[in-house]
Amino acid sequence: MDAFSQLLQLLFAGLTVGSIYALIALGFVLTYNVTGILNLAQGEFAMLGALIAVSLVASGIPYGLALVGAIAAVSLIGGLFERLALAPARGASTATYLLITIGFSFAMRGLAIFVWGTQPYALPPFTSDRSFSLLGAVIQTQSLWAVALSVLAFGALEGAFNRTYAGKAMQACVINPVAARLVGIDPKRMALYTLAASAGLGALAGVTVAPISGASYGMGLMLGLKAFVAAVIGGLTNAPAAIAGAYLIGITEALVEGYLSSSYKDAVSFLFLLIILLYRPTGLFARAEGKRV
Amino acid sequence: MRLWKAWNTFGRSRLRLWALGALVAMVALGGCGGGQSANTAKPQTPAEKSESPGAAVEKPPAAGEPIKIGAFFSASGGAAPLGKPELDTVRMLVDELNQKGGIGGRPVELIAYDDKSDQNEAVLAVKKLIESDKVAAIVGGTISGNSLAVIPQVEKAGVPYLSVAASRQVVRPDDGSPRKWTFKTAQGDDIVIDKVLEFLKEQNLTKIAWLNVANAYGSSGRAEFERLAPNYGIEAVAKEEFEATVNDAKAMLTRVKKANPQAIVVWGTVQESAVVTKNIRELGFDVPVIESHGIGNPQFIQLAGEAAENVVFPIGRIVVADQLPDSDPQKATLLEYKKAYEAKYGTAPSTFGGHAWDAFQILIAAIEKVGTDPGAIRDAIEGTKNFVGITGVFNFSPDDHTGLTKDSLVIARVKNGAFEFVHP
Amino acid sequence: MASRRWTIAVAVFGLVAIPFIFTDNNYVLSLMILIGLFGLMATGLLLLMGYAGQVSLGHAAFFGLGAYTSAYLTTRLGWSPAAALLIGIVVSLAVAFVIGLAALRLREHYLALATLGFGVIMYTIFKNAKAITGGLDGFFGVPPFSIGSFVFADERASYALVWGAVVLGLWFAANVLHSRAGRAIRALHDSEFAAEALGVNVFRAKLDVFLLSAAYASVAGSLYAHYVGFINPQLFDLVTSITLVAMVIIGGNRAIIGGVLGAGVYVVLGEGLKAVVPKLIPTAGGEFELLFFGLLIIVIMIFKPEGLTGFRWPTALRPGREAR
Repeated sequence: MDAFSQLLQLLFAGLTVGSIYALIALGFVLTYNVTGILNLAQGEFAMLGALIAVSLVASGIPYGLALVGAIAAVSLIGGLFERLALAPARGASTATYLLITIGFSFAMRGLAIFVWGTQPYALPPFTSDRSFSLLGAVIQTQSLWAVALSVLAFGALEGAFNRTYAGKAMQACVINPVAARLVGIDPKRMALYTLAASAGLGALAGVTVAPISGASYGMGLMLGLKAFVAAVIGGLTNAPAAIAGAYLIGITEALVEGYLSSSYKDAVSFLFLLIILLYRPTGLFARAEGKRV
Repeated sequence: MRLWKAWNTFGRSRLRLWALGALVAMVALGGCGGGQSANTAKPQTPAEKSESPGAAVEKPPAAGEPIKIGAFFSASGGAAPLGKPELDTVRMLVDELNQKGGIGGRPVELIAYDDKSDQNEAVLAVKKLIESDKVAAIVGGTISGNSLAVIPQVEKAGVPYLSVAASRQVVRPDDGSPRKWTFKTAQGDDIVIDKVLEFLKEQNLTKIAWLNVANAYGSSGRAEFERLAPNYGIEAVAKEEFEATVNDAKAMLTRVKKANPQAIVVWGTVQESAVVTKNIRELGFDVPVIESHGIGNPQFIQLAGEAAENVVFPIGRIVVADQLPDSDPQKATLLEYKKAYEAKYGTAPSTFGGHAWDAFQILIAAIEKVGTDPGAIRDAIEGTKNFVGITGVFNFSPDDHTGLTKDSLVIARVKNGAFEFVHP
Repeated sequence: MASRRWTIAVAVFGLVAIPFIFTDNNYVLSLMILIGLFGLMATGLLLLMGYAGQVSLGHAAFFGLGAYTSAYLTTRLGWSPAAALLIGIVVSLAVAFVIGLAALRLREHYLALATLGFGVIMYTIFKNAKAITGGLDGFFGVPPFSIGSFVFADERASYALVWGAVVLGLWFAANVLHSRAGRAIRALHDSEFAAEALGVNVFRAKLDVFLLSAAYASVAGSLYAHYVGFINPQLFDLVTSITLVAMVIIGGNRAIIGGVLGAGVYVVLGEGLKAVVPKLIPTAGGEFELLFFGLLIIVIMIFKPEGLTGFRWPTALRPGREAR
């Protein structure tokens, strides 16, 4: 394998992982924008999505339906989480919300162990198990799905924001919550929709990554944290920037792994986080905004 | 919606503080109560003992003062796939033993704790076993870290301890700290790597790539590999690590491919090994793949799919018990354990459950011989010879507290989606 | 004020009494030692979070720095444990100083994120610096703590040592809070701008309290290494950092005892669940604790976010967008 195809291979590995981070990061940014909450449990939605999909497939439900069912189920869980845990704490501090999401993340992991145990499960890939060769690099079909879905999800989100009433209402909440309330938009309902949508995005990430890496109760933590780093790189409020951040993190990790050593992969991502926070706290691609420093 | 409103009204009132307080108090009291009744556990009848919570206590049907045996396994948390069958096995054996009348008319009382794969929990559990429960001996310590963390205590207290963890450090520490009371029943990596190297040599694969998972399991395998490989004239042309949470190892494997190895050794457990194995095949790497005993679980085949075919690995006999030649000295014992375990739990037993079987049965054999004096039990365990167990045939001695050789492993491979016995 | 002193007096008396009540039970003592070690760390973090209003999600790193420094110096180089503990503090302070200089310019949850990143990086270093830390295999054979020829070998001596440190730590923290520097630190809590306007050097005050909290964690780490004798990187990962934050939140900041209280509730509740859950659901394993703990954190956060000692979170930490 020559140097060029190795680089190509690494870039594809990075894009694949980056797409997964991107899907989770989208949910992250969405939640933060509408509710001001940093949801550290975002990665657990991916875990739940993957494991529920595994169970639905195992129970004999047609594959496509099982995936959709899993995403719907996780959206429901996300909505319930908002109603039962976030809404009752209204007006609490950032730290309190942070802790609630951490508690939720603990609880979901405990629940997952109870239901599925700690062993990993396999989920068949969306279409074919084949991989094909491109200029000497090997690419799995599932990787293409991952990249396509992350782009599609973003497109769908943008579309929903600009075309539907609920989307516009959410935007209104982001831009000016007080004015939004004045014109009759219910921010509480928007928060509910947001959490459900974010959870669905997380579940989509989960069912996409499961055929590549398997699914187990512990998969959510690292995925969530990396997506988090991606979101911060994008400035936390900016969806396209968060997706770019996710690809950046994914590709950086792959390059570090390919050319240096995988031992330092995680550290490099978080070093990235520190550098961004210290030098560009509004994100790598952001226009100046708000007080952060 | 109306209900929701009601809840919020309730929520705003002082009541909810009280409700919360009551909840916390209930749990805390339960905890303290549990702690206290266990603390004052001096001589107690079995009936009273079962009132004290803190652990799943098996109630023995036989009469006479029970012999208390302590156990701690990682029945939940990250190491649960290992620890759960260990705990289940010991529970099953205790039931069997008590139905047969216990030891000399005395029932055996198992006091088992789940350390949740957490070091602090393991330390606390063993303290409790020694100080509160006052057990005669202890089995357990699913992962090496938890075993190592409790050893100073058992050595200080002078309680016989049979670990089920793999690390050589458990019985032969680099720092020479005492291991008078500590034994173990799992093959150490020194033995397993020896077996792998023997196989590689036999197949004339001398230039190999070594890949291990970046955790204690992987790094311990790597250390033994680096120590023993020169003896066999085997050289690693590439050495790499991958994370236990790896999603895509192709980046790293491109580097391995450049080194042009004759074979790849992947040292990890089920999930990460499956990812790496799939990636190896996706990259069109067509060399023999040898993996660790950590993949000896059908889930590996499920996860890796077709890529798992022809993967060769060393494994304890229990996994391929049915396929062993009848001349194998362990075959009868293995099949008996397999039958009982499958009847009770509905799944096939694992090598890990086997380690627990060995630890418990070796201990029981010693108690049957010499009674419950800790010093006498220790000496009896150390004197155990030709004990036919699940992991292997044990021969302990003052210099060898594992008592196993590489003959306790066989070579197996994945064939048509199942494990196949290749040769001893 | 007076009632607070009374609480402390009663608590100290209770602590002294415990080894005499449970004379033959080392399990209770080891539980208390664990509470003490976590409590010491939580007290440091309480100064940072509860009094100065700065959140750190990477405090396990300082716990680890103390533990590894002590382990390495005493086991490999034969230093006395007391000297190693002091060096551990110096190392932790040095690292905290560098991180603090950079990260403390950040506000609100951005500081939490930066410390989270710092924690993950330190964990990676503990994992990979095999020559010093023993890597993932862990570092074992750390001798018990000793001063001169007196070895804190058994449970009761360790208990006295750890809780001696806790009481000292509480006393020191209480004094700091009533000093000039302490008043500056507390001024940060409600509004950094107001503090600045009043002539407080905000950055300096933040750095002071960050260093102080790092030192507390470092001491706890050193004592942990000597007490258990075995350490591995997993003890110092993100989960530990989060657990510490949870302890501080449970305890609350109305009294300096909050950190210790939170640690006590956390440990006792954990042991309590272990006792109660298998009785109710015989097949349940430890996963129920995770589930229950998660739910409990949520419930406390919803109904009593100010913590057991009556936590009052700084207004500076409230979310910018009040959508609700």
